[in-house]
Amino acid sequence: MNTWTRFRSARSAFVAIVAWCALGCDSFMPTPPVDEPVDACDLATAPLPEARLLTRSEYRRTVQALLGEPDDPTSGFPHEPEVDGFTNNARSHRANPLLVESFMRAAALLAPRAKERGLDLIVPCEGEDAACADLFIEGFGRRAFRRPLDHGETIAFKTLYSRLVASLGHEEALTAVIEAALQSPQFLYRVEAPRDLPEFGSVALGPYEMASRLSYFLWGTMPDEELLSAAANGELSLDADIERQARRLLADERAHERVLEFHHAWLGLAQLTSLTRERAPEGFSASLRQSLDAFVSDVFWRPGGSLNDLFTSPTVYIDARLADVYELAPPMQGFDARDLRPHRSGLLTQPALLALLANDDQSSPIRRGVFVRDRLLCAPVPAPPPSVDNSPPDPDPSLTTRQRFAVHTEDDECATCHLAIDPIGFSFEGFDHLGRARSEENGLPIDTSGALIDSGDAAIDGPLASALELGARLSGSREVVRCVTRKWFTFALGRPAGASDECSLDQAQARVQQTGGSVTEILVALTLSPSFRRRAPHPEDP
Amino acid sequence: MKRTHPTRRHFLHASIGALALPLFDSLRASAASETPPPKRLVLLYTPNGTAPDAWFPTPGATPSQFTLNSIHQPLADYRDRLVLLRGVHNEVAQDPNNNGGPHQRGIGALFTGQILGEGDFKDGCGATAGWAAGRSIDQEVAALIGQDTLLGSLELGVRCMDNDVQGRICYAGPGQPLPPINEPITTYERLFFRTTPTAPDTNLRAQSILAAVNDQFTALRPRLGQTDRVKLDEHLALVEDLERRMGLGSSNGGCAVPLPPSSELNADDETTMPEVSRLQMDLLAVAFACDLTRVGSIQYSTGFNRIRYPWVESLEEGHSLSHSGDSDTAAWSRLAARQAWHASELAYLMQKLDSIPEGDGTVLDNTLIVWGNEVSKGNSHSLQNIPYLLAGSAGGALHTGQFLDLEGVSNTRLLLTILRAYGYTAPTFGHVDYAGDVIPGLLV
Repeated sequence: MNTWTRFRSARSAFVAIVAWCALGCDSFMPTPPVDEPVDACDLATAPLPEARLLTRSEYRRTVQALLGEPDDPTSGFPHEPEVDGFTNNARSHRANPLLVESFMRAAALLAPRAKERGLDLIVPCEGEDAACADLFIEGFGRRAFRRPLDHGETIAFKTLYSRLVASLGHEEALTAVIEAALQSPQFLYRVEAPRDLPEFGSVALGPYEMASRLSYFLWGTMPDEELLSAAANGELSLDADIERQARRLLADERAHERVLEFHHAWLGLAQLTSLTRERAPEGFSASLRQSLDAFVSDVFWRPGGSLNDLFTSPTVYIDARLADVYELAPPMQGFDARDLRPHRSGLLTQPALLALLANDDQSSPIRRGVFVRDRLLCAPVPAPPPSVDNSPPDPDPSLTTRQRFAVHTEDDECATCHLAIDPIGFSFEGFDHLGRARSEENGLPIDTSGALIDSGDAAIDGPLASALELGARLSGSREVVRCVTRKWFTFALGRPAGASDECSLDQAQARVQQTGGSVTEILVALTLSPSFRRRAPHPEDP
Repeated sequence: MKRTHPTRRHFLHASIGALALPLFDSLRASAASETPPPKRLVLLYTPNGTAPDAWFPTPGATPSQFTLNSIHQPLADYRDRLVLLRGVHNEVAQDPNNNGGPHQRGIGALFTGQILGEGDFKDGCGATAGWAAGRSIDQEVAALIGQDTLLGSLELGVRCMDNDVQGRICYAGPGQPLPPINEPITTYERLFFRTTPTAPDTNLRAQSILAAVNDQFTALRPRLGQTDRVKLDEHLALVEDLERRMGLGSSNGGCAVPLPPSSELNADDETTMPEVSRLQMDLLAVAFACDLTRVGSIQYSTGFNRIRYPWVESLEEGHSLSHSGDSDTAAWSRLAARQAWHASELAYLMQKLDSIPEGDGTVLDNTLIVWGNEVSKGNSHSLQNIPYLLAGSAGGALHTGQFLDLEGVSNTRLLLTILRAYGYTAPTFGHVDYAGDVIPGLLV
């Protein structure tokens, strides 16, 4: 029986366990995507938007934009909870004592530094009097709170100023206003308030709320002057207005760091920091990360950059350290873009991912297979039974990794799920635990054949010759477009897409496919989707 | 992680450099005038299960006549201050209505006695769960004895790299995990970096700023829906608690401020783990001595982690090692070596606390350290016979120097027994279906 026949024969067993799981462990199973596009989306049952607390990186970039602060004040802040790789989950990221203290300490540090640089740089004003303070409070407040202050908010700051100006002087009193603003909930949280009348079961966001959604999604920082003006002028409600702003933000340098931040979360690159791999040179993980960042930026920002480029570009960025590991000629300096056809093709063969998705001393077909299903197809497999011994087999000099892992698919109990994982992982066997290409292991020839089984997209299921073919297959899959769009949605909204968001995903997917799978179009399409522009009604809505 | 703001460093050194004293020179507990001296509690967590054959002692004719096993040899000098327990099961974690995989369930219930809510945290095998559904014992104790200190509690970590349910042991309440601090410099700043209220102008300034912040919370409130109101009320309560604690009399409990640990130390690197461990324990001891807090925790890494222990020549990924087959004696001896290193770190903390005079004794006399693990044995993910170890008597509240085989009690009963030592009066603790009375033979 050849490999593919064997996979096929076990397929029915996989389907059976999926059916069994649906009874007992439905949380493990992917929701089948809804395929019919609809024009208007019903968001009446969508989760209510929650106030979103600034993350460490959002805080850093926001005080940079607001105060011109050049340093990172967040290094001692606690880390946000990480949900599926994403650190901006609205529900999980909440205040705690350490975070509140961190905000207070940072405010006490940042406000005087802003004063030293000059308050005029924040809001210019001639003179040092109450009129000037009012101007400052109005102008600074609008930027700090990302919308004009209301009456109560203005009074709070004016009261603070007037209590301090006599004893401390004008500048010091305004510095205290900055310090208070940095601890105010209007600065620390993005709040989407109850308002307006529900229309089609959902509510359009207010213009300033929309401005913040756009800037925090695409830049990870506060809205700039142009966005705030557009909000003031009611120019953030029509498709054309939103699209123009989204394209403007994407054309700005600030979008680049944000795009990398998404990829780090999506691909799980946080774990690169603590990477330990046998025979890896000093500084290996830093080189890997920079190499992948360069690759992602390259395919994302090249004209017309598409998912096809992401999955098939043969470019690998190499510095002297990686050149040594991969036995290539070292670059003159920094990183060089190398065309490594025919050995490498796309994201799946990037050194960082191959080394990350491995064990210390051997490749890991399991981690690679799980990664493809979970992160690229959004089709995770059920967790193994709690009692299973899932340690990797000890390296055996007389066998290849593939032969040692074969036990998974020989044992019937394991085979049912592992047939959805291992054959994907086996196609990566042409690369070892450092991401080096190889044609033999322990003197035995490498077999890179594999298969995609029940990927969720019947059009791409079938036998595979290697990871390169897998990349090519994925690059043409509707399910991959859907999955990547879904991950971007999670990043944009601070929550996973729910059932009522599928309609927005449909619209975005259709738009992305019309443009040939353009990666920047995914972002533009999401900003135009109902889930991004509207929300479910609050019970408190008038 | 390289720290990138020299200005902040300058600020710190400028403000405290002149006062600095080396850690532990002439340290004396500042709350010593209190009679009886205050009690303290420390939670200690290590991951991925123990090596049970090297952990549980050999019983003797009576509970006090046990013989320590190999993992606990570093604690031999403190044998009579220990309580070793067998037969404490994490039954809550095994509740059929619980969510998540074994490491998630185990760590969630370890110190809370509660199940996990639903959520999107995935363990390494794809199981999903949310946060634990209740408060952990350290926070119960902080509510009882930690109201009048600068910090209610101090959560410290050593390479806690996963920020999800497998990376949290302490909960302020249901779904309210407390993140640990991994960098000793941050621990130091939390303890010692604050403005000292001296000049009346400074006080007026600080008070006015806090008043304005409170006013902004009030101004925002009408704009909030119900969910956000709860979220921001939580935040405001923390601001108010912080305000109150900062207003509590003299800073530093009258202690001289010690020198800060190096800001160059990379706490993410596996080779610095022993150094970070010692610094965090030093700082916790100073915090106790200066009465800046009475409740702390030190969490070593996270459930299901892959960390290595090069300083005990154990270079395997932690989770994989803990999954070694029972017949792989070499692997189990390496796991035991890791656990013995943790025992030696516990011994170091006990020595530190024992070196700080307080009343007629030392701070150690008034402290209880509770060591736990989210599973008992990695390769079976067993949640039976959780290796809980108690060190110290919390001011004589516990009978120490004994090994008890309890033959199957819920961990909620052990947690309740610990809480009783601090004056907790509610009849039970933890999940209602598994709650019970105190464990006999432990409380004095």
